[in-house]
Amino acid sequence: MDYMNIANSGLAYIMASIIIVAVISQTIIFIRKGWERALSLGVSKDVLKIAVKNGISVSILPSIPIVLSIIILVPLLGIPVPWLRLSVIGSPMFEMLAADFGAKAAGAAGLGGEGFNSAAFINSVWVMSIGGVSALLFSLIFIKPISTSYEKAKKRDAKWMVVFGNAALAGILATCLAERLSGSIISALVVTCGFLCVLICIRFSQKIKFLKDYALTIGMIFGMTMAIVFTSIIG
Amino acid sequence: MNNEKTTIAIDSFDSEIHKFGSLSGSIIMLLMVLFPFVISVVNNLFPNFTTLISPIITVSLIMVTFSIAEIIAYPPIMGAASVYMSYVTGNVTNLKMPCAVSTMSVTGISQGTKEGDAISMIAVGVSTLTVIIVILISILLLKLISPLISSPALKPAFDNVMPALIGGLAGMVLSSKSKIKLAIIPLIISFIGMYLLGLSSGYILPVSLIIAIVVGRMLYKKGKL
Repeated sequence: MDYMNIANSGLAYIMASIIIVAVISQTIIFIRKGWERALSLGVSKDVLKIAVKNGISVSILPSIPIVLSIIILVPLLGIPVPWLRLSVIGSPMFEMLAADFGAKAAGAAGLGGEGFNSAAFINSVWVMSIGGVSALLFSLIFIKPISTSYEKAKKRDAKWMVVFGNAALAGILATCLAERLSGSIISALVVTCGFLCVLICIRFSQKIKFLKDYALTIGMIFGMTMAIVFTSIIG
Repeated sequence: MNNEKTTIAIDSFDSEIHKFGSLSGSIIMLLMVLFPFVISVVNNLFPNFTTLISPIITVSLIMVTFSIAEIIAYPPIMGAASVYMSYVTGNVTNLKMPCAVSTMSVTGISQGTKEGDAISMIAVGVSTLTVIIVILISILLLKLISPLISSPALKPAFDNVMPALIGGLAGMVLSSKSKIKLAIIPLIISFIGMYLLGLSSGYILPVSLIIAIVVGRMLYKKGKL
């Protein structure tokens, strides 16, 4: 059986489209609720527009590695599965790992490896789909009790909860920074470039508003450009 | 009386978010599980389910382990609604959180406030739609764009999106002294753990989080924040 016919079948495209439309619908409803809520709290429309612009500008470049993962996966799994998996729930690393595990469980050498046939394909799809929902299921069970306890804590001591939030962010950022700084030299240099570029943008943002609104995007572009420069120098 | 009405309005919004978030998330989760099932039934192509148990458990454990610390940390940073949205589309720490935090920074709205949560909902939602649209356009133009974004000349740039993003986000967040005070010890501990001991971020993240919160509590009690 040529599994690519199944992988690229009309049914696969339709199923993937239905799920992506469901996600888009959920997202649009959340955006509307957030918009109305912000307006009711006195946030101006100009600020909301800045939020939209920032959301778009920060998200474009990080989408490119996701697209690269799709390019890698399409010859192996067809278009609908990578399209769906990397639009919904998945991150490239987990999806490739899940697909690889599934393929090996069917006796193939791995994702796209020797013996990757229809059995390996359907295994990969099942492992990606079922394994992938675990974090979502976990979140659906625990978000409400966790955030309700935060709301109660906020009513007792609102200032402490602000500090708590800042501390949580600092803790996460510290781990992310350490991960990138302790990777390759180029990774560490790029982190530094992104960091310094954003600081400079913020420093001059009072004179040039554009720099404040797009500081993170400018920092990313600068960091990525310097990655090309450093790689050509260091190798 | 006014305060009581306001309190009720706040609670009913939170309640609405939890109801919608859990219902819509559950529907999407069900559809995701149905996907392989429908493909298998229609094409009469079923896996050997006993061989799937181990890989599914392994992948699930990996994903949940990474998520535990995040689900505890993110509600006070970006609000419950953003967390509901983020777990449906993934890439929470890599994209959704930086989007929410940078938007609050750019708009001057503090995190942990009702306004911050509302702005985060917009930022995370727009980010989700942007990624979905970029992916859709890329799929439609796959043959055209594939040589461009796969080119060796641009590879270092796309290999380093995350370092650039994290560095930039650090520039936005750590421009205040109070946040530097909170981050410095977790950063040192994380660096020791990863660089010297070779531990993965999955193990380090909860430790870093706890340390930052303990430091935060100590500084808060001493009035130094």
